[in-house]
Amino acid sequence: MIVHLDNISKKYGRFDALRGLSLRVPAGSVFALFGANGAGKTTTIKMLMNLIEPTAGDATVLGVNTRALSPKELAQIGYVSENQVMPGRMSVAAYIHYLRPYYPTWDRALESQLLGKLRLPPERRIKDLSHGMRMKMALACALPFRPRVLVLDEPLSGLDPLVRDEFMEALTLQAGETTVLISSHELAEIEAITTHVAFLDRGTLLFQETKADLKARVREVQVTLDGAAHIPAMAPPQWLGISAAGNILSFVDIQYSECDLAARIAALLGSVRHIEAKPVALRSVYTTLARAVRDEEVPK
Amino acid sequence: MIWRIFRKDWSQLWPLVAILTAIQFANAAFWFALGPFEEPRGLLLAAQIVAYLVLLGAAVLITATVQQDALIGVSQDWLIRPVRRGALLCAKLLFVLITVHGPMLVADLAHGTAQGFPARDTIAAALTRCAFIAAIFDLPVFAIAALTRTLVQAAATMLAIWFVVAIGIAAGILVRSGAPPPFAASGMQWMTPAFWSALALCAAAMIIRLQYRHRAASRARVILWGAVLLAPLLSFSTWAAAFSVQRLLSADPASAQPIVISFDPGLGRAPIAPAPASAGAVLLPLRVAGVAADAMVMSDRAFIRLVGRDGTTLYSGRTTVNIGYGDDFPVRTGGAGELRLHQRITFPDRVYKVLRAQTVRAEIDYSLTLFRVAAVNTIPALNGDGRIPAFGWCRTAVDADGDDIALGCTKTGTPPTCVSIALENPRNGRRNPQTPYCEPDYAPLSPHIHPDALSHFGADIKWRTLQQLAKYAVDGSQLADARVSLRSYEPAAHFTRHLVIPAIRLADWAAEP
Repeated sequence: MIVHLDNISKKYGRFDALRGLSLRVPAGSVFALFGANGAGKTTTIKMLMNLIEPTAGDATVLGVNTRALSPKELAQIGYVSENQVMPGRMSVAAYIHYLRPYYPTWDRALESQLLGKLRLPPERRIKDLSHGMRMKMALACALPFRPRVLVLDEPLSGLDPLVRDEFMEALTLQAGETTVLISSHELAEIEAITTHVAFLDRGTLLFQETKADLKARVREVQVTLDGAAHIPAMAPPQWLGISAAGNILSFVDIQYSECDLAARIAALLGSVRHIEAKPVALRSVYTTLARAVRDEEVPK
Repeated sequence: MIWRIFRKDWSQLWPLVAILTAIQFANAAFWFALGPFEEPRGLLLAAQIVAYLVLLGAAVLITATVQQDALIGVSQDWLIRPVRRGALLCAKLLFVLITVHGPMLVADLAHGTAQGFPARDTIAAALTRCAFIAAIFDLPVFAIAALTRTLVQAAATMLAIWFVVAIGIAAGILVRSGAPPPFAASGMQWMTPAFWSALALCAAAMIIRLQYRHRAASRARVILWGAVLLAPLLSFSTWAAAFSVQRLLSADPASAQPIVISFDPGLGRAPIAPAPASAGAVLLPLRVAGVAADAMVMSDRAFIRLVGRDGTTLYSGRTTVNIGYGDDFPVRTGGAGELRLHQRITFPDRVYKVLRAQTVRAEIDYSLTLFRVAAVNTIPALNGDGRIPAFGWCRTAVDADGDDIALGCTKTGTPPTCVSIALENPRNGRRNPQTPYCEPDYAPLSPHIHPDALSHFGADIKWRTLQQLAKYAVDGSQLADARVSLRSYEPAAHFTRHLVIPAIRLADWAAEP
């Protein structure tokens, strides 16, 4: 495991930001961290970067305890955050020039390629860059040394669609050779490259699995009944977001199993005309789960 | 890596460095232009303001340097870069050293050289100033900057520190029923800034180490505020304890051994009260024996205790209510052997009214300092211009009012703090009374750091009064032949004496007309 969190807790005064969180990020994966605002995603990431210390528990990155991350490990970790503060009076080119010698693996060709792709104005001061430009700048400073781990904290927030595309294109330049840990609400954009997902809620991990497994077990189900549809009083807990309209009952089944779904529906609803189970986009999985968590109906 | 960080900071901060450098050179230029008499007044005021701007500018630049790569917060880019903390600290210290102290050193050297001082003296004074400012100013400011994210936060922290220390000192004054801090207006005043400097230096070193090594802001803040709370500690100490420390620092303790103070009723009542009469004042006749030639004794503090016949303490307190250097004990200058004098002792009115007619036992504890002459020099009274050891480059001129000889001296390093000055005419041997300028500093190490590496010393020597009331031995008609005699003194020994007067009636020695 390239990133490993073991029973991590973080308290801010009386507030528990993380409560016994354990995570494993496999090498080569693109690991997406989901969760509502305040779920603990940014705290987790800042702890992994040793920006804050856990109150309890241990975390390792590249096999080293995060409390003891040294320049040697940091030279192999790329980090992009929406709140990253870079020296404002320096120009884009000057700052990249400043950073270059810190990284033995810095690739000048990749740097040029990235600067071209991201369309960053080299002579402009960092403080004069727009938010989107700054995010691209952060990425341009995080990729050229070909990091073994790339940690992205809400990298797409506040970016317009064009900049998002440029950002994602630059990111995909290194897909496959870098382990990526990304926290983002922009699920549509990152779905294509994500291989693993974890869902956080109020400082605890609800689940962690591969995207393939997640998408296989979550389905949007539409049941066409003979008569008028009603929301069943004793619906299974794994049916989320149940709605009824006309003779159609819709829900998201988070424990989908093709072989017994029809039988379970028939047992609960009686005569059924048609059942359709469609794969769900990551964004819909997230919104359904987030809504359920908010309403406290998700099975743990 | 250090040089790389240095260049990065330079690219960010060079305008601030340029401004501070300009202020530092303006400071040297102003003091150079002021000359030995520090005139005109407008320029003096400007120079004084600029001198403080140097410190303010240095504080701003140091804070900005540290906060370029702030240690507080989690969003600074450098935190996720492979930057060695030790290298970062070295780069910051180097930047402060070069950008704050480089121009300071050059400005001080230029000023000293322009004033004609020898290179060795100028370099020594400039380096001493730089070293002390670095230790007692730069590092504490550096530490505060390492605990804050912005200049405003740093300024607010400094104000809060000042406020807490002021509250602590005020609490000490309240505890002493309104009396000032124990060392106020004494040669031991150095103890408070020395204690503060040591405290600030230790706390700063610990904070900087904690922050750059572990980014342990909570622990570092505990150290900061612990040091701040300890700062007023000395104002709760006693005079006796502090003076016993000062005695240990005496340069030549044996020199005070022959000195004896005794009650000398044979001297009689003071013919003229040396100060305006007061209902609670007594002029006690004393004999001071065993003082070497050309030495001076100053009473730093004296405490009197009046004891009744039954052994109960009727009164105890300081012998004077004044705050001042040696206020309650005349300063002896010149001569040798013994001195007979009246010591003025002031009692609270209600105490005096009750005790004046009683026969009581008086015990006085003196804390004294013996000074010896460090240098004796002369300079012509009119338009004198010379370099005098211990005083530096001095000039004399008749002042604007025409009643004083103005003496102005500029010196590398610390100025003399205890001086006796007199106008004398070597042709006829006449001599005006000595005028003491003695606000001694007993510090074992007393660097001069403000406003620059050169110190300025001045005095006005009277040869007539504007109302023509006083007759001076050396008057205006002799100024062309006259010279100013300068004696500087240095403390040789700090010592105590305990005087017991078995039976005394205060009324017998009252300072009444």
